[in-house]
Amino acid sequence: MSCNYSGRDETVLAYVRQELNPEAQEAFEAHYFVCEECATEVLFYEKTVLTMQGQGGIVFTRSKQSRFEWLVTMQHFINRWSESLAGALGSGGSIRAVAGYAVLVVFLSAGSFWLIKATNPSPRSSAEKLPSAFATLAPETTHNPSLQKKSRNKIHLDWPRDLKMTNDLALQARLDAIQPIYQVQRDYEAAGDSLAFLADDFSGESSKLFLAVCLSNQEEHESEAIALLETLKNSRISSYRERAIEVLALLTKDDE
Amino acid sequence: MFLVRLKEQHSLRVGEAISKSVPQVDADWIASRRQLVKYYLKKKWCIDGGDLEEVTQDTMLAAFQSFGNYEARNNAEPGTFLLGIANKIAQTFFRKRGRYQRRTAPLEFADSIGSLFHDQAEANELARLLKEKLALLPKKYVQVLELVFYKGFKEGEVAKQLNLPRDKVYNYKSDGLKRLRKLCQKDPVFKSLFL
Repeated sequence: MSCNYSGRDETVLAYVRQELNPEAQEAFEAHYFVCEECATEVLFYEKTVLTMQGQGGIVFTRSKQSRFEWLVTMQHFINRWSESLAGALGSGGSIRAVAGYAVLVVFLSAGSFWLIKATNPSPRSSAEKLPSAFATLAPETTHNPSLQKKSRNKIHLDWPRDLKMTNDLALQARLDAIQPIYQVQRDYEAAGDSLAFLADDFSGESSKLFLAVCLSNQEEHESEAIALLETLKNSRISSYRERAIEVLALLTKDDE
Repeated sequence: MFLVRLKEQHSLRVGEAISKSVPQVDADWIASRRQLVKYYLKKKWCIDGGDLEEVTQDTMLAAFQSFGNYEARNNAEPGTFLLGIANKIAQTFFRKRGRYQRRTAPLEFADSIGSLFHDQAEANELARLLKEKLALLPKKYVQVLELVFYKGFKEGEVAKQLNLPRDKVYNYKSDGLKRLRKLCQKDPVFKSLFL
């Protein structure tokens, strides 16, 4: 049985991301309760998206490039070719022609791979391919031992684990994604870049507070951090006020 | 021709489901929907932990008791029937506790442990499997998926950072997920993780 729900793929994705309007949402809900295919699809996308969000550190960690990684890729393509080969044989194609074609493609692929490898050595990490402002967000840089050692002696304000800092769920989700970069990896530069986006978008005081901590750990941005903390000293929320004063005190102590 | 007749019979609007293979509403069918009911209550009504179990149980019980009344009047789908019961039970639940909460944002990972995922180990297993499958996707797709879903960037921000048009980022995102789905469908290990 195949489901013919109109715009099914887009609808499932939009449903998972809570982007459908209420009518479309209700119509789709009534449908996937009946349709086995759509129900599986919804659960797949929901689980996948949530895993990427919560376990991104595992999902997106790049393993070191093996010298023979191309063999795995080749094997993948050979599997696909063998499927199409079987199809061609089934439809009465010439065995010799198809086999010859497969061998030719294998040799050409291997040749072009070595040629590219020899003329243009690939960068070690994807971070090098990203624009400079963004390169700091790639996980490889955060594992740089010198960077971690350097940042360990600096100001650190513990990220509250259980405390829900805001009622805005979207903001909270994004803060949660930054939390490991800030709290575990202590990569203040990367966390600062992400928090700067949040501060622009939401003007939330919680994100400003941790942005200030990140900036205070980068010498060239210390004055910006102090300015941010000065504004937070007048915050209506007492916990932010206290934390801002705490960090300011640490900063001035550091200067002395 | 068959579809035209089907549309006339069920007076379906264009763009709606035309796979009208209506299942027979019986105890087995209702029991098979339990996980979906739980997911729906979690996603739509923000119900957690013990409350979620309680409301799911009440919904299933009410559905078992009243499935004899289901007549598919006005071409009502059995899904609508079950959803109606779930919503009614959830509303009663909230009325008793004097609070009302409906979700307006996507689910969060922390909330999904214990409801969508049985436990953390299941989530870790899926993460490991997804990593394997992502290695087979082109790097551009992986980059966009990482930035959108892991780093929490909006599509506009990703487009700016990667110097790509916004619609291209949208395509990479949705095509990436679809390709991932196709790769996973071929792998029998994944079947145990869904439904």
